[in-house]
Amino acid sequence: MNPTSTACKNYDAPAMTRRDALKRAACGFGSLALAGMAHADRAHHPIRARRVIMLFMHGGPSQVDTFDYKDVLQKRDGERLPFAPAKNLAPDATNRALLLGSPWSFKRHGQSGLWCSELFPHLARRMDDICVLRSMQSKGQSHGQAVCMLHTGTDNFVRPSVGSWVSYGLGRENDNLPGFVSISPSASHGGPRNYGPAFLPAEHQATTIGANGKLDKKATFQFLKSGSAADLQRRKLNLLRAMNEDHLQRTKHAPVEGLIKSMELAFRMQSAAPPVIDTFDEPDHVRELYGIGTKETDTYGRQCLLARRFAEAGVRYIQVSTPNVWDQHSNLKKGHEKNSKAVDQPIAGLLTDLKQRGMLDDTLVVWGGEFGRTPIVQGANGRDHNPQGFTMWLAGGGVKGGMAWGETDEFGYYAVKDKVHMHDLHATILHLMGLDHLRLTHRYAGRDFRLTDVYGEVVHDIMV
Amino acid sequence: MAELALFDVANPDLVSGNRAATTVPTQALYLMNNDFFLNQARKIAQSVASEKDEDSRIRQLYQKVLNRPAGYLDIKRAKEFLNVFSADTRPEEALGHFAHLLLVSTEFLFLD
Repeated sequence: MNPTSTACKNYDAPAMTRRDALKRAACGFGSLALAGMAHADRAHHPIRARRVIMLFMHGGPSQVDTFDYKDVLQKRDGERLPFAPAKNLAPDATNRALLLGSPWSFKRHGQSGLWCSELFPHLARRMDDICVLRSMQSKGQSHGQAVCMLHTGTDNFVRPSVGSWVSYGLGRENDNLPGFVSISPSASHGGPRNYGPAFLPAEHQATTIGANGKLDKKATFQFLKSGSAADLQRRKLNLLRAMNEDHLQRTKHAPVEGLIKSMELAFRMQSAAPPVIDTFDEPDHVRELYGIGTKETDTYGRQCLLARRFAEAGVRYIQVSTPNVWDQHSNLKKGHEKNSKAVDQPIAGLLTDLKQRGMLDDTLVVWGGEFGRTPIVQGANGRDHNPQGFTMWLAGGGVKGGMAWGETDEFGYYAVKDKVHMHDLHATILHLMGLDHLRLTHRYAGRDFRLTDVYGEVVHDIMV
Repeated sequence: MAELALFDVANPDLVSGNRAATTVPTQALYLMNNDFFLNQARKIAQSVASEKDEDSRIRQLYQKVLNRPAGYLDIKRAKEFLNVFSADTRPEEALGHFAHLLLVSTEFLFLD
């Protein structure tokens, strides 16, 4: 159970508490929605990205096989790495430290001439919309730590996830849907903690749809029942709310408040969610754009299309996860080919669709895994984990397209120039959403906490 | 298993030092709409059907589900609720809905 949280800087103490609202409201329950809207605009500075779609490549895709081309690595394939490899590696890789050139060919694309390998033929055509961060660094040499680091800004403690901070900082844009939705999140490597609120109020946890990279064809929020008995339910919930309010007043237990809010949201979702979730009304050309209906791309395509629909409906933070498939310690060629095939067209389709709808300007798309992979070989044909230097990319949401930021060394191993630590990425995401990572704090256990802890530099140079 | 997953059951393939504490609308939807809860509620309501009057039935339900006597306000609210329902449902059905609310109330769900 979460201990009772303390209000700090007005973030969880709205101008009108829900109890006040109930007391004051002459028209009762219906006015709750309005009270929620009243404090929706809490940004610290102008908002560039009204929403974020985080495309999480679980397992860690390789930078030197995708977006960070290294001709030296290609030329010296099979030679020994001329400096010490990082300490996280298995002994055979450390002892041999042999460079492994990318088995895929690279080309420059678009007006920007950004590099993209043949693994992403569809995304290659969208490079002018993308800002490639080639100097990412993170903490956590294994998946458990690094996945939590990416989602919560810490590799070892239970802390609120990025989406929870955003929901906490800005409130909901659409009062009938959750502010934070995670599509097909993994149950492993931290599981719920990666979309959990930790010590933030419970309502800021992601609502999930699908699980472990899978999404049923008729996926919906579970146990959603719409239409028929709305009146009956309304009456039941009115009494339930009164009973729960009594209980809350006696106990002052924060999770009780969270459950009350979640009951109310659940009721409103029953009518608001089905039209958003049901993607069957999308025209065929849009479904094809995402690769829906084609075996390899169908699942991630439907996930991405759903993400766009949630974005359109006012969900602030949407994550779309692949299964934990990118971890190619061996079989790099076969594995990365299969994985990139599954996401390439869906992601390119998402970018195209957002752009056509005029949504890319204020929707930040983030792509990446918990770390990258080593330029030296592991086993016969694999690569090990590499949080020392890897690639993520951003698109839209106030970020310049067609640019690359930062560099790794000539082999693509360590980030060496304009490094962007995961904390810096978090600070930048919050900044684009109108939130100052230094001021978005929550007091808990006697001190203020923030997503970036004591770190984080906003990367201003990549912004429009 | 779908129900357990909804409440973030620990993954048996992994070491789970702590169970996650979660509160999301899908869990609330489960409480409101799942047949298991509705059926249990109906059974509890049936078990107090033989009480002499409405007040006693309400008192019995509070005792059975929440293990405490019903207060004045509890009874007043419950009677208002049942009253509204009696217009278009059978009394047993209405009492079932009331028992359902007790089962999904935070007082029942949380340990104080």
